[in-house]
Amino acid sequence: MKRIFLALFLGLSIASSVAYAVERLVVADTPTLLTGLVSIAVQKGYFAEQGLEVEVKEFKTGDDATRAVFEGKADIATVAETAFVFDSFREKDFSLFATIGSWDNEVKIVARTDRNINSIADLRGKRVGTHPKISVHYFLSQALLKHGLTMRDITPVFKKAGELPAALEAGEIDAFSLREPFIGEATQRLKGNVQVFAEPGLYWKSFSLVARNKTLAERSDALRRFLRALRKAEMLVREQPREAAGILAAWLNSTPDKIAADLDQVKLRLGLEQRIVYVLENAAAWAMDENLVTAKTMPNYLLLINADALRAVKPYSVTIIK
Amino acid sequence: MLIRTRLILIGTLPLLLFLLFVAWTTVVQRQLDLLNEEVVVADNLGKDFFALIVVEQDLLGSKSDRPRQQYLSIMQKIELQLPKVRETFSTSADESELFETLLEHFENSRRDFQELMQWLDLHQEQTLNTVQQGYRARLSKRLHIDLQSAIPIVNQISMLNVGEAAAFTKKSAQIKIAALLLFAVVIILILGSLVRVIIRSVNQLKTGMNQVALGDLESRITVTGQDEFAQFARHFNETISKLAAVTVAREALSAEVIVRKQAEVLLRNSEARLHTIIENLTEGVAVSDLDGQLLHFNRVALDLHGFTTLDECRQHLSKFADTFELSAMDGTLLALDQWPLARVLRGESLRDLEVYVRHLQAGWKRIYSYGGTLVRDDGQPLMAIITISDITERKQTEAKLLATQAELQGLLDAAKQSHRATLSMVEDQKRAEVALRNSDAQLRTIIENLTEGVAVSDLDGQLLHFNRAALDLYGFATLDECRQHLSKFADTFELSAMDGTLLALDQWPLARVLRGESLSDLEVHVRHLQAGWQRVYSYGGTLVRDADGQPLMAILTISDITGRKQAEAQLIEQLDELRRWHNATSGREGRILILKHEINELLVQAGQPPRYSSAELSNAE
Repeated sequence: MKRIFLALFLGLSIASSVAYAVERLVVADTPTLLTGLVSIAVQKGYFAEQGLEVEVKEFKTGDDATRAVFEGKADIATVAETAFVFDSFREKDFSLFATIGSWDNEVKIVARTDRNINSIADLRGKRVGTHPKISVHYFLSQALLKHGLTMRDITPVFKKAGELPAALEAGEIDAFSLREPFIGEATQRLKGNVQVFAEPGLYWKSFSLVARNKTLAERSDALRRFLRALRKAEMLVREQPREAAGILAAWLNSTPDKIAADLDQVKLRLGLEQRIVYVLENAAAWAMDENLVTAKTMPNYLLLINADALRAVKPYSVTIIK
Repeated sequence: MLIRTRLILIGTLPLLLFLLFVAWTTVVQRQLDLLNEEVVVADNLGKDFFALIVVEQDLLGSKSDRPRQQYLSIMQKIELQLPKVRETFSTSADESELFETLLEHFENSRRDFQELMQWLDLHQEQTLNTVQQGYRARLSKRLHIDLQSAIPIVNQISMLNVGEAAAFTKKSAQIKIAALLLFAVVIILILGSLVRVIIRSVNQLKTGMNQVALGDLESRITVTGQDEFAQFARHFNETISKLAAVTVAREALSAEVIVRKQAEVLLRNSEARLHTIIENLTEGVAVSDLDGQLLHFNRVALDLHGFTTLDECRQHLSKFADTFELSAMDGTLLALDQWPLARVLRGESLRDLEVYVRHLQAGWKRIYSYGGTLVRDDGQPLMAIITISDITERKQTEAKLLATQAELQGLLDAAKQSHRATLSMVEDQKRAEVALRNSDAQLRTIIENLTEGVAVSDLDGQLLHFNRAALDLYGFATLDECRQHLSKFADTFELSAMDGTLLALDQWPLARVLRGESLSDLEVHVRHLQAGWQRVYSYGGTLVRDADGQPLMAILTISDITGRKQAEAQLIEQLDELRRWHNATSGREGRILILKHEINELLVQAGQPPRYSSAELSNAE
């Protein structure tokens, strides 16, 4: 009987080693807490366990990350829905195949305290900086809308995200719409003389994984293993939040406590929920309304969502209705 | 394990299985109920969310508070259910995760609803510009999406439970089949084991019993285990061991019985032979118990006492006084306690006790020579044995001889000395004859102690036995030396008739007896070729026959009469000398006699009694 078990074990070992022949994937990542699962999977070696050699290339924005995918420099990109929406007006051969993190309070508006800005409604006529055509731009628009303003009621200053804290410090702008780590940087630069306006629930921001359809079709097994590694990272966050916070703090140059506090709100979770469609459609409508795109018709985002890989790994998390 | 235990186990297993099945079915049903309950809860939750969606459609269009109240009411209902829902959906990580997502949507929808309501209340009296209208639409849409997104989650939870229920049902069915198969295998294994044990045990018992049936009492059944068969085999082995022991004992007993029977036969044969020998002795033998009850008389003894059957003699000694009168040689009447048997019973050993025996009824009177002793076993007296020889004639001869001698003594002084010598010779002869009639008390030693030699031969001439006297007579030291065929004796002995004629082997006494002759007082010269001595033996003999008259053996009695013959020869020679002397002197004697007769006649004539009686006797002769 022992011999039979030994033979089975060896057989399974050989089979598993054959099945998990090392495969290389390049991930174009935008370093943010919402893509933390990728970082944890890298740090914990979960990709290696799945027989993947994953190279993570970091980009400042999701737009840059998807561009790397379209240029063939990366296989997978982590992007927020706004970047995906703008891409959707240009590209057709790609799909969103999983959401890996979401937060409805990531983006905030930071204003200099010396510019008499006590609420978002006080931004009327102010110079408000943001990175164009990405989530922070979209949030700014939604926040203004909530308070009865539009982008036309302010003086938008479009700069790259990394430049905005310095611009705020220099007084070139009165406020900006950004996320961490730029909010922290601005706070440091202005030595706390900033006012941060949060609008929880206003914008359910999510980071998703996108890849070209060819990649999804031809490398589905690798993508499933990639998702399994992320699923393991997700379980670590759920079961060992302190360890996950430590890993993410080191990666984001933050503190474990702050990350742990943020993780109370951030949902690092694999899934494909129905609301992603709404968010995409809203973002697309906003882009068209703001004439940020030339297209007059909105893409069918259901067609740009491919749930096959995630359904194979975490079937119940796919609640999108196609 | 005992067979009984196995059978009980087999009998109990179905009951155990039934109980396990009932328990298992209960657990399965409980689990299915839980899953169904979760499905119901999920469905109800889904309905509630759907109801919220329906009501949410009316929130913006209706100016009444009713949709808002309905919405709040449904939300309250959901909120009240949440703890139970949370508990219900905490059974698995997947459900729990989905529930968290659902809860997030619920919280979002509540927040969005509140924001929407606040926003509507805030702008209730205002004319909304396009921006405000746009935001209100977005807010409403957000709320709608929150609720709409919750529906597939609820559905997913429901599906998850349905899937779980289906999987559980399928798994339960598989477990049921596996359990039944396992049970069947266990039953088969136990039954197989039981049957195998039973068959093996039965075969072992069968083999063992066959071995025993074939007579192999050394074979044993191999005992393994502690079950009933092993116990039976153990008992069987013990029984066979005991049986073997009994058989061995029985065989030993049988062998002993056979040996004893053989010994008994031999003994009987020996007794028969001894009895025959005793019966054929020329000497009378009587046997008595220690109380004086006569048990046996041999044929000679019967004849000597005038009995015709044994029954006549089988009476107490005291009864013999009614028939016989015994007296000593001097004429003294012997009291009963002085009778030879009475003396022997008191422990005396008698030899050559000469007694007058008078038969009171028949009137005859004879002189018998008695011998006798107590026969003992390990020193304890068993019986008394008496030997009787009729010496009447010899005594008469002796008396005559003595009378003649006395007469001659008176006539011949010269012959006195010779006459005394003659008397001495007679005494010697008498003693020799007495010596010939030595007898022993013990039945077996009667022959051995006889002074008369006794030899026994089978019908082929093979010498079987020599008594002590016979051994001595022939110069043998042991019985083995004499146990040879008659023909072998010719190498050692030479026999011749009294006239000196050499006897051929077929004329030897035993050869003649074997041919059927009965010999008595056959006097033969016997010369030992190696030792050189020569003696005169008197042979008697006859064939001993069984009850059917068939010859069994030959018996030969041998007496050394050398001395007697020599004495007789001397006596004859002396008598001849006396006769010659008598003849030589008979003239003078005759004249003396005539003279004495004439004197006697003269005296008679003178009226006086005759003086010389011898002269009258002589004339009478």
